[in-house]
Amino acid sequence: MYEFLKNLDRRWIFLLMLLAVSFPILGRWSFPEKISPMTHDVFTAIEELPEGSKVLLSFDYDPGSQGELQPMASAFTRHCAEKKFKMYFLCLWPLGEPMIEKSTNLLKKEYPDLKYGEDFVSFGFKAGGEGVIKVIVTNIRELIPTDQFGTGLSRIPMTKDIQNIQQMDLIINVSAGDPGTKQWVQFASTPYDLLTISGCTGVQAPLLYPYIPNQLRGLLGAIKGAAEYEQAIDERYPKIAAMPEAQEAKQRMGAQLAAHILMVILIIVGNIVYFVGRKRGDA
Amino acid sequence: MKQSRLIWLLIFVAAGVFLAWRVSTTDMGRVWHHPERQIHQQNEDGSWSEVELPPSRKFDLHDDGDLEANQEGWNTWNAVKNMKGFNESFGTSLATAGMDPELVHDPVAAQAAIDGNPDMTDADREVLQSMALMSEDMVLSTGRTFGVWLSAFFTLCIMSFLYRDNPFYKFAESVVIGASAAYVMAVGFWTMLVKNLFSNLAPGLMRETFIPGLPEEIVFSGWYLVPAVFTIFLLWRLMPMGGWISRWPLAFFIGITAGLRLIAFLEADFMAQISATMIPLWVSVQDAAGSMMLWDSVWASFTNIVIIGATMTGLVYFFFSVEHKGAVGGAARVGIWFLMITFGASFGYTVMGRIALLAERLQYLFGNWLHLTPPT
Repeated sequence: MYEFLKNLDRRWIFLLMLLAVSFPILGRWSFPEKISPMTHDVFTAIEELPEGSKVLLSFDYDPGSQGELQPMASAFTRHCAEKKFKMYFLCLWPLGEPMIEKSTNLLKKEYPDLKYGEDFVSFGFKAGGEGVIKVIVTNIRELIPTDQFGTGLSRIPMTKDIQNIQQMDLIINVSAGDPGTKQWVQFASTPYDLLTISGCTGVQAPLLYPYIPNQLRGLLGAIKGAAEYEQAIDERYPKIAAMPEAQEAKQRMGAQLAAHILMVILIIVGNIVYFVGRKRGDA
Repeated sequence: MKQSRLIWLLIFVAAGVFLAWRVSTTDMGRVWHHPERQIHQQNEDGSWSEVELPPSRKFDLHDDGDLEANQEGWNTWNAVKNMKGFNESFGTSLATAGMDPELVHDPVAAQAAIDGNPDMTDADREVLQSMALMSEDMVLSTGRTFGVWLSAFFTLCIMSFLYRDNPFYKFAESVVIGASAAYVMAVGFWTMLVKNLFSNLAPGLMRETFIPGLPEEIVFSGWYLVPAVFTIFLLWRLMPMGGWISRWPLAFFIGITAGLRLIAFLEADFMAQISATMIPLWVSVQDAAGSMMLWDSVWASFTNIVIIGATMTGLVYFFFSVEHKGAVGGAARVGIWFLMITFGASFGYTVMGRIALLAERLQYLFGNWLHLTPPT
């Protein structure tokens, strides 16, 4: 057994991981989520705003991160739609425009009463990273003269009076890296004291926690944060709770559980093999 | 043949047989779509507004003969990723309304039955009418079906790297890099050069050509000649002579970026983080009546002590002007423990992120391609 484990081909571990993730997805396992204080802060930051508030949703990620971030982007969009906010979509990543389209398509399908230009608008992609934030925080028309489709901002009902993003009641950032939440905190939230919340990849989360609560009201860390946020929305809005497509993150937590159990087992087995080998003088 | 290779070969053969069986016996990998008629009407002020249509006209192929004066119309095609799922949903809705669920296979008869059913509310009737009309005009979407298979193929090509490096992986990797680079270049051209640079240097021309909606208040701005010249300077490095000229705009960008980031860092990370660490060691948490809650107070105080302790000992670990001996050495050792815990948390989060990416891809393969689960 020791020799078998010592020389185990890593591809068997890949296969085990594939099976561990596959079975919960095929069986559609999902578990109830307990809402953490951090997620509660994100939820209440949105929930406490009055109807008609202006919210900037900056989706700074691309298809490579959508497995982690799309569920929280969709959940943010649904929550804002339920609250009847004015939604302004933007992305600082070139491949982020299709991510915005997922949310605008969601609005068209699930909230057909909401109209483009009156309830939501897309500025599309803007190149320049933090430079974009630095400019639009004082003058949005300098860099964004038109919406994504080339219509002048002065001709769109919900943008004709917008001069800069300091007029936003809330900034929601979904971030996969640079530019992302760190830049929104550095160039918008901190110097102009703008209410900001974020959802980010797991890799970024530990680096962003120090900004809470003064510079960042709340943070959804990875798919776990997204699942808790879905749970918070489900408890408040039963209509959304009944929609299977609004439970994406919760469905992925079943796969997370199985994969993490497998990893813990593998780490224990790996350590046993190491210590047995050291005892035998192999290590 | 090595045992492991034999096992992998058996897995691939089993997967191939399963795929062939699914393709021949189910609707797997096929995407259907139905038309939705869009009609817009020009208002007196020249703007356009959407015309609300009843289901009987909305889910029907567009015909120019239906248009009134000042109207334009076209079709958009809505995808149905799983026809079986759509039929099941339609059948369940029919059964709930007291009708035969088998009518899903005859949309015309279903429409007649829905119209003739007196026991339904208008809202329910409209929903069922919409579904029947969608079903009637549903056709196989060749482009979307090809897209699903292509997406599944490339996903499997990339995953095949886990077995070992191979030509399929190399091919998929090259396609991703090439397509991404081209996409970024095209998007950059239209969003930055056209929308921000050309529209400020030649607003009239842009209004007549690429951006008809460009606001009238945008007029020629000479300041934008500076970035235009810098752009040319940057591209100058492609010339056989005088490539050094591209260093000027680069020096400008580096200087600007360094300055911007330094100020932002000092404000948001340095000063704000020092301020955020100046917290009391003892926190008294009180209930609504004003009496102290002991356990909550102890926990809140402990949290603050850990924050301050971790910050201080972490700083001591990176303070190399004094030898790490005695009290300083002890503090540095505690600091490294805090750092290790942080790295562990980061690693745990990273693992969670990677598993989420795998789960999303498998959901796509199982749902949108193999139709074993509902599509995403």
